[in-house]
Amino acid sequence: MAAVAGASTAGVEAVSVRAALARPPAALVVAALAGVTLILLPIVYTAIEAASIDFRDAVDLLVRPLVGTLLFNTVSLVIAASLASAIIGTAAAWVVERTDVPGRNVWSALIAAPLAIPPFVTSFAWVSMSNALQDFAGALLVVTCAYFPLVYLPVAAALRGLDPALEETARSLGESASGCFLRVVLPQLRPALFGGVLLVALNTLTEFGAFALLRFRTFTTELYAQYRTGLAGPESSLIALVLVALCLALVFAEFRVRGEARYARVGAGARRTSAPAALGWSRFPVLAALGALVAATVGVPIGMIGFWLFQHAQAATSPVAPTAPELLRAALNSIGYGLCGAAAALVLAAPIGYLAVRFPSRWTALMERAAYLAQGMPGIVVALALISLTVQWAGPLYQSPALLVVAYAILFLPLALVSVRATLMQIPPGLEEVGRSLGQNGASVAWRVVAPLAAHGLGAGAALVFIFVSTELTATLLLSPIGTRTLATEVWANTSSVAFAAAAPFAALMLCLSLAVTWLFANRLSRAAFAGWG
Amino acid sequence: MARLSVKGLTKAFAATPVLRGVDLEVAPGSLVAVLGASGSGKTTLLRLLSGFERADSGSIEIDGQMVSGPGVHVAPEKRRIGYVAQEGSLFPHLSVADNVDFGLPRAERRNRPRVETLLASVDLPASYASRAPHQLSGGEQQRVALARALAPAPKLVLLDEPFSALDAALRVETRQAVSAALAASGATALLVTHDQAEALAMGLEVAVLRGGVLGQIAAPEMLYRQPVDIAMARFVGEAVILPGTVKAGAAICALGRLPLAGSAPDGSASVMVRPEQIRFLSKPDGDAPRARVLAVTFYGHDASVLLELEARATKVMSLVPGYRAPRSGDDVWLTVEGAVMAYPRADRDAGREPSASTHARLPVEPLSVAALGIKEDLS
Repeated sequence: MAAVAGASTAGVEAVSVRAALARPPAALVVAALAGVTLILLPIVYTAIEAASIDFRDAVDLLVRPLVGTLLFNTVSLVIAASLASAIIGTAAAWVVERTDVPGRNVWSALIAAPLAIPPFVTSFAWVSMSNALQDFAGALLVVTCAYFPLVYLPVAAALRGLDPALEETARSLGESASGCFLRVVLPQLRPALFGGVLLVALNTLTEFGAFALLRFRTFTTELYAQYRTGLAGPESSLIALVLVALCLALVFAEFRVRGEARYARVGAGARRTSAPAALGWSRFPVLAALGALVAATVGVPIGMIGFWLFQHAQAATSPVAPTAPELLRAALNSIGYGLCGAAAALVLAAPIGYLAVRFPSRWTALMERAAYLAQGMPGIVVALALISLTVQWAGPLYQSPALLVVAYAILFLPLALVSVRATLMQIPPGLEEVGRSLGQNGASVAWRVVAPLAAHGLGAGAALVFIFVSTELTATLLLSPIGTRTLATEVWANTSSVAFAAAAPFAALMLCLSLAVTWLFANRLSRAAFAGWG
Repeated sequence: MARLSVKGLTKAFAATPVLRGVDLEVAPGSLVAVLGASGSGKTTLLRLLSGFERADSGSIEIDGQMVSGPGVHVAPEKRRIGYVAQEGSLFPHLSVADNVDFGLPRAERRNRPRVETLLASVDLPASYASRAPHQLSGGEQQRVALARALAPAPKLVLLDEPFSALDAALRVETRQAVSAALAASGATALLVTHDQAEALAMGLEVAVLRGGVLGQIAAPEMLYRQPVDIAMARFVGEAVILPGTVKAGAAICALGRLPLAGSAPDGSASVMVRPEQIRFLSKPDGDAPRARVLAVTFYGHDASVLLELEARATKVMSLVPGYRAPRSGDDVWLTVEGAVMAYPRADRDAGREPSASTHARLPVEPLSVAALGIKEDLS
């Protein structure tokens, strides 16, 4: 038997080595390199800009109370939000996946729903409810509400994939239910849990709108303030660089966990699911807790938007009432930019993903990694870098729609890349080869075989990017052409000026848009977004 | 109909040589089966032929036209080579008809009678044309894949383990349909497989790929009866290897004096007998050696019998029809039907038993269902 196993392993190696040595088409390599260069442009520019400061000055600029405060605020919030999300997300996942709590499917959908609500809308809801929610406590509440599903989804998926036989074995070896959870279940959840927590931390680091509305000072809000007051320059670049360094540390940590997660999944393939734990009388407090969670994370944003929709404009501090044409224009702008941004991100991601999947090698993997670095690029840093670059080198592009689309493409390329990769992985390379052997050239095979097969997956990926672009705030605020307003910037502007009733219709439209698209692609979206976590 | 001519083909992946100089001639309209163990480079050979990989050196000519050679690499789509992959690889987004006419020029697509003719050639009803690939069984998918490969009238058809994903019953049926369709189309074909029975049953000639070169190219009967060496004998089937000597055109070993299938020089030799050549006599006859049955593994249609020769304490294995299976402990007398092979041994080895002489070493994949039962003995 050993000989058989050895031979088949050798065969597998031969296949991967073969794939690694085939030569990729030059046009694809050029396209992928162009995409990677574009992504790295803001990071490199920020670094060069910061490097122009004299070393002693740089130390002076970094070692001062302001930076200390920002660092403390940011890091303490990231840690608190990560911990809170980890606990809430894991607990919710366990309750929904492993107990007989009534209405598991409904809870499952409701708990994931906050992902469709942009954090600055959640922030708007809480701020417009009470002035008391500000600063650290408010920021923690808002980001936890907005991002804990990033822990819930992968952990729930991991719980579904666990082999119940392991738990049964632990129980048969004399372990109690709780001991079994700690010693058997939790260690297996670790990759999914860490991966989710890192995503929460990363999103908290790069969040801007929610904190600005809550008047909580972090690196992102400080960068925005410096830009608005015309102080942006090498000094800002230095602060941006600190922020980018923090983000990249998290991205690299995520790369590692992701690799682990893939390893942990090898050979799991359990079809059987374990019997759910009977809650008994404790199901009432559990139901109450789930209800409270959903009320806080979904109920408050939707409820507050609804409340302000039906208030007279005068009820808010600033009495402004948007007109129907204004609403329509903002909605069309959001949709238009959403479509363009999604298309641009997919076009950039396609060659990188294709090379990484079909021609796996050190170089293509490096390109893919570089593309994923964009995950660690806060919108504000990308926007500021693009502004400086265009002002200096490409004046006509400054404040052009094209530049905004480029910013979206950079920011959401990792998201597009995940779905491109997942989609291409599902198309057996043999199909393309058969197409070639039937006399079709590369372009013809791409059009007649790859495109139709990838359409669904890429469509779902595009929908996902569309949702994120059409609700994006930071880059839109900084880069949108003068006079261009989107749903997101209108919510922002009206909330900033305490015109809550005026913000509500824009926020409502935005939620309807993102929920509608999510609902349309629900199944495929969750698969595309969490392909790496399965 | 085209002649395929491969000369000195080599290919290495990351400094690991896979093909070390493959020479192969396939006559127009012929079907050659390339037999090799997993990882022997069979698939690499097909990929070089079809143009998905570039050879390091050597040449490939189809009908006298060089498609791969020094400075020449014709793109896969320009080679006119049909390719049938292991899993069929039907395009899942296209109907059977659209799959079949995929390789035809645009003007000839949607040519219903043509599709029906092609489906008929692989023994499928015309009503299948509108079906989706997932509505077909594995064997039907393979037939559609063959019809698709034959549609553009290729000069050469390559089949990469086309039956290995099918279960045993379907395999025989699909094999026959594919053989018939290939013969009818007149295309030259190369079939790659790790299954000895499949290679012997389908190929007009069988080429055994081992160590990166074709170790023997011969008609199936020739390959099985007269393998070039002991390793080849064991690879294409089960073999009993006994020490002996060759004298005056006959092999003398524990089983007696046996006629030779091929010529061998006089001197000490290893004698190769196929287990099914060893027959039982229920009573002594002349100098037939007597043996005791040690173990019987009964498979139904046949049975493998482990015997110990009384005179020399040598063990041999025999394959007998199931209805004639003896019982463990029985005494029988052995006779050998047909001719055997003898391979010269160096003198220093003369006194030593060839290793694993009692059993045929199993090839990586079992030759038949019957062979599965003795797997444990061999690993």
